[in-house]
Amino acid sequence: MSVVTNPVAIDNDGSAVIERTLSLDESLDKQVLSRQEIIEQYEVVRTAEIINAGSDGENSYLRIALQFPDELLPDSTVVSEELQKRLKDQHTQQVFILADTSYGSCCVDEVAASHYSADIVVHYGRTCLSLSSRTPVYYVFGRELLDTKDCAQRTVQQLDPGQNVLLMCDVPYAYAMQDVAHELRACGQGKLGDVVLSEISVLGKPYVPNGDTTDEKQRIRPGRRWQLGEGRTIADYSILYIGGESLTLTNIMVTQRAQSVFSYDPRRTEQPLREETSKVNRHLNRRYYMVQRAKDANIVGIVVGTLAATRYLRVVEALKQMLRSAGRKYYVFVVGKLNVAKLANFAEIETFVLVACPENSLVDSKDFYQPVVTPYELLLALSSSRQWTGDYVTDFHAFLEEAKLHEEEEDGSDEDLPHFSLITGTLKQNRRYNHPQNANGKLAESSNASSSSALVGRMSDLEIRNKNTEIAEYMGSAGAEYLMNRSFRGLGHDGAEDEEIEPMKAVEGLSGIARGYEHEK
Amino acid sequence: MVNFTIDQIRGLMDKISNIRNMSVIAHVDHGKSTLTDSLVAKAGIISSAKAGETRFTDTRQDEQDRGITIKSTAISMYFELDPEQLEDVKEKTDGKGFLINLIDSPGHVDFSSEVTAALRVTDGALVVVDTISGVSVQTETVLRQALTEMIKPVVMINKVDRAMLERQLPKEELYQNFRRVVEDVNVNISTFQAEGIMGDLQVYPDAGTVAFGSGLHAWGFTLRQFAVRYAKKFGIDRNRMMKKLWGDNFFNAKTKKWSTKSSDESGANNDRGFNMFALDPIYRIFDATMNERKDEAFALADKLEIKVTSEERDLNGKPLLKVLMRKFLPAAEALMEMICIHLPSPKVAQKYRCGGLYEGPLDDVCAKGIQACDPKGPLMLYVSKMVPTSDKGRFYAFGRVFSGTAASGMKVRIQGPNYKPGKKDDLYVKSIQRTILMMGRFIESIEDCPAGNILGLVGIDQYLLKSGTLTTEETAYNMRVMKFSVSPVVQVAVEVKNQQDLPKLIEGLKRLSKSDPCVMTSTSESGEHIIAGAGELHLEICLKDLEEDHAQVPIKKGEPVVGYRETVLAESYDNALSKSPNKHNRIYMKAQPLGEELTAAMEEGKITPRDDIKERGRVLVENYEWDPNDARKIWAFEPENNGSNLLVDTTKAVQYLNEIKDHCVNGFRWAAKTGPSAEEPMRGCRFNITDVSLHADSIHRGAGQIMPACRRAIYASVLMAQPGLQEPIYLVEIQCPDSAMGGVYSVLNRRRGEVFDEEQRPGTTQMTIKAYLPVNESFGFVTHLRAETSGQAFPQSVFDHWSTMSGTTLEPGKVSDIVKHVRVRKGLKEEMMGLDHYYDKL
Repeated sequence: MSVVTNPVAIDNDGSAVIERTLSLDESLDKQVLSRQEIIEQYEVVRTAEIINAGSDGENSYLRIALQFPDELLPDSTVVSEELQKRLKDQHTQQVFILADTSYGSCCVDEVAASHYSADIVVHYGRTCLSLSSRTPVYYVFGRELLDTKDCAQRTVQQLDPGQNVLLMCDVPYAYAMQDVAHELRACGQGKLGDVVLSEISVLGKPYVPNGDTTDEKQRIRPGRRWQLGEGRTIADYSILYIGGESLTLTNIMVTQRAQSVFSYDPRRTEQPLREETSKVNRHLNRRYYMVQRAKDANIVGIVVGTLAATRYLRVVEALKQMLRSAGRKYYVFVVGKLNVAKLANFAEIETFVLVACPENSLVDSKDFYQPVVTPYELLLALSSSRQWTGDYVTDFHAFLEEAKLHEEEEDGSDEDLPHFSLITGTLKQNRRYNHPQNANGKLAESSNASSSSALVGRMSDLEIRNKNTEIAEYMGSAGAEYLMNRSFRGLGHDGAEDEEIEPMKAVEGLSGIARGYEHEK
Repeated sequence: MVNFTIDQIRGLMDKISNIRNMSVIAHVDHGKSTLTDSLVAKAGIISSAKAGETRFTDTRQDEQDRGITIKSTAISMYFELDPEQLEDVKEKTDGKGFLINLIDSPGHVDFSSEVTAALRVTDGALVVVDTISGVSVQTETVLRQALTEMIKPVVMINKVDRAMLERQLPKEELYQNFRRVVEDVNVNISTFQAEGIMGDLQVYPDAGTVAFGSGLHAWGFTLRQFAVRYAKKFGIDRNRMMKKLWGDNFFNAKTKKWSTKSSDESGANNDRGFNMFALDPIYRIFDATMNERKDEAFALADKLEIKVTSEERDLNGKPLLKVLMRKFLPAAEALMEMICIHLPSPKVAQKYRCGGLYEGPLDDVCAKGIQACDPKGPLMLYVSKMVPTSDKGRFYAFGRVFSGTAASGMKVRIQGPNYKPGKKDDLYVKSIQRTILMMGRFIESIEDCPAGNILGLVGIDQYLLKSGTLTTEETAYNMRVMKFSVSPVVQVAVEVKNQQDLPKLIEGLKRLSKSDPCVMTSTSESGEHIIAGAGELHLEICLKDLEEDHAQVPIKKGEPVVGYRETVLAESYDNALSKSPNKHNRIYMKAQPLGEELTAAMEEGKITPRDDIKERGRVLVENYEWDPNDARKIWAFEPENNGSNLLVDTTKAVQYLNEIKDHCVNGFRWAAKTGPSAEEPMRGCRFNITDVSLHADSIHRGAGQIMPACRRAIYASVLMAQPGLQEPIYLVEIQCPDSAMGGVYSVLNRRRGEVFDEEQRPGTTQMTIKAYLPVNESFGFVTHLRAETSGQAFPQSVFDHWSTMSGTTLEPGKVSDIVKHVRVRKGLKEEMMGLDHYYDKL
């Protein structure tokens, strides 16, 4: 071992963070815009109007946070300057730029906004349209060029005659949707069936939370709303989605079980209109695999991946309740943006459930050591009676309703019954951990059921000494059990287990840190 | 008319020394089920006229239709022995009634796992061998299985009528034929026999452990029966007579003297005892009846004390032959005698089987109970398979009580295969709802069932998948898990036609998995439902069962595919380096092949992660030329903590290394399960961690940093070590007349088959060809072969080994085409990730 002469720096000077290149969403490769174009693109004028009008038309918003996704940051300074110029009161009204959001940039970063006591958040770029719970939000979607005629014509050509169409879009095309619908109805006269337009309610006006988040009736997503024709269900419609491949499209495809889904991407030069099929099946199959993994998991990590979407707390609570009654152990994590290394640090967790906005919760976790599932998938996994039929819920409101149903279903099911694990192809019995909350109830129960305890012993209780008379072992603690199974349980001598290793003379090792040792400089 | 009652059987269950548990095993089409019929008929369960046609133990419609047995079927029968027969039973007996629990097993190699499950619960085996085809590949396989399970064999040489009628073999040739079969069987027995605890297991016709006969015509004999007849006549001891009836013992008709030479001094031929006393009467009956000399036949019948009814006197030719032979030498009599006299009772068998059956110490209370077959001991019951009930989705657990008594309503500990004493994984405490007796296609409820008997259990099927141990003793270990001779190497993906049926498919897969000891069902990472079976026929039956019985929904089936294994062909040309995500830790890794010999030893369980480290190290050093230091520093066997890849620490003086061991092992497990080329499991690779540098602060070398780094280092080292593929290879045995050889060779050639053995059965035109055939090429092989040889060739394929394909996955060629194909099927990018993706620069 080397003689440490000077303290080894734990980390470098931080230049790496500054020099780090971020990977941006390549599909949104931007061309450089002129100032005038920026003003138009970012709807600066309209934004200023809204800010000046304030919540009641008189008291203007004073502290304004502008939230940009990474790929739009280059324009942020111009936008903020232009916006500042157009505000009513240059002294009291102030504009901030929020960047590098804690979670997905599609959600409104309410926490960051409240650090600056912002009165309103102006959100730019792609959004999942999750509802904020405290701060008013104005969404600026931007505008992408769209040839409405071409879109309508191609659609009429490709779709089967008499097909009903539900029109949806990515947010940059929202402005043109009325036109598309109009064109479609005109073009498809007699050829297409019903044409329904899904509206984005926050288009062109701010969303103001009314503070009453307990209202069950309120739709959580201000996002897309549509009214299907009388007596028809979504299965009678084909969805026409305008926009490129994105999480939004995936989300729509898995949640809405329409007859078929077509996407029209104006940026795609070849074959802008195409049917999206195989991808969704693949995707669903993979999700299905993860549900099976989650079924086998005894220890579940609840990862909070949003602090903005309304009712995320209630979802977390519902998940906890579900896990508790299933006897699983859970831990709650807040890790900011997910990555492989962060989650892999918790090696004892067998499945993570991510509570995030609908679009971010579908993590394709091939690289993750453990599967990352959505709350609904966990519900399916924990349910003994329910099997997945392909229905899918990503939205919190619907999930909470399902969770309530689930609780009723699960009453009185046999706790001991093993399930057939499709991962291992064997029967798997899940461990039941005692939660402090219901430990008392359990204890009382087990003393009643003394007939069976002759055979099992009191294995769910405290076991003082095991056969090897090793150490006291507290059954029911997931963490302790995991530690018992590890070979390294804390500090000790290197090679203590194999005493035949002879002591050797200390040798001079490397100095510095692994990413760049002294001698390598 | 069943000639016994359930009460009678239940009564006999307590007389352990009068119980015989036995299975009928053989090559496919050697006539097991047909032969079983004659015993079933003797027990009165089916009429004796139907014996040989009913195949009572083939309970499934498709078994009847295809004429092959698919599932093993158990039946309990009651017989009584004559006093003079009782004398020859060497064990102590208890009354003249005997309970025979018989299990008829399938002969097709794809269903070998059923045989294993049957053997586990029995103590003796009736090995049926076709006179004409002789000892075949599956005969060898089942014999080997029987001997590993410590089952005592007796032999029935079947289809003698064919040798006489179709082949018209003269007596001496028939004798030579028999002798050859017996020799072949004995060669196999001496090869596979475990250490001497069971004594001499070879079979001898002159000891009465070989019977001859025809299952179809329901006749058969042992030399003992003839010895008894002639002993009276000649007034000599029947055991001495028996010896004279086999081997080189010749009888001179003139001098009425026995000699060991085939001719006397005067040069006149002596007749072989066997030919003269055993075969002669049979040949004469055959001759008389088949050549329409009825008077002679009836005269013969009178002489042999065969009573012929007046209706039977009207019969002609074969039917008459059948009647006469059945009355002369009833097969059931010969079999029953052989079974009762020569097969061990549970009391005897469990004494020597205990060591092979019980995982725990052989002096604990359970082991003692098993050894003594003690009905009052702690319950030890092994469930060897699940039998579907008429109630959809429920199963009878089929097994054997080795110790104690299983009773309805009894509370038992149900220990699955993963149960470890003192832990509570895979352990349930539940009540047995009912105990039942399995009677072929019927069941009978019984109150309880003492040690030594085979039974069915109701109400515990939900807690066991395929097999397990039931006990009342808290300290009991498991009964040893069965080891199958076949492995599920052929897979097929299934999906439902309508998504709404998915739950039913899942339930169906579970039931399928229960109902078959060998089949594996699982979900792949890409979400496909995979069914893996031993061969094409096995899969075909499984899929049919799944669709028609277990799931009952329309199913889409994929093409059958084989699983490959990824491996390395050479040592990594350099140290592969991977850094942790935070770049503060480095792992250097080298991959190298383990060598086929060591890999096979690991797969056979000769070298396991549970071995003593020093002991294992010594073996590795001595037998596999390992470095003594490395041999002690094996960190893990993966995948599944039991695989054939090793992670070895070859570092010197790395600080904190112990701390990251678990993380590295986790990364290794992950990598070994899904290799870098096609995400197939790895096999036969050794990974040496050559150096590690770690961040001084433990928070920066946590699991999240080390695990991905280790996985990537392994991938990089594989890509630097000529990554290759291994494919599974079948051993195919084909029997055909030599005229069909051309067709066989052309089919094998077209399918990359390699013939390594070719043999002609002496005295026949029958050829036996042994070849290696890649499993991948075996789809449709049977049909193809039949077409090319006009149905004259019969193949049997069984998984034999993994073979490394030539070429690496990196260079264009067949191997990389396979990789691409697999990747596309799994929904991955067609091109595999390059080395840059895993290898970090300094």
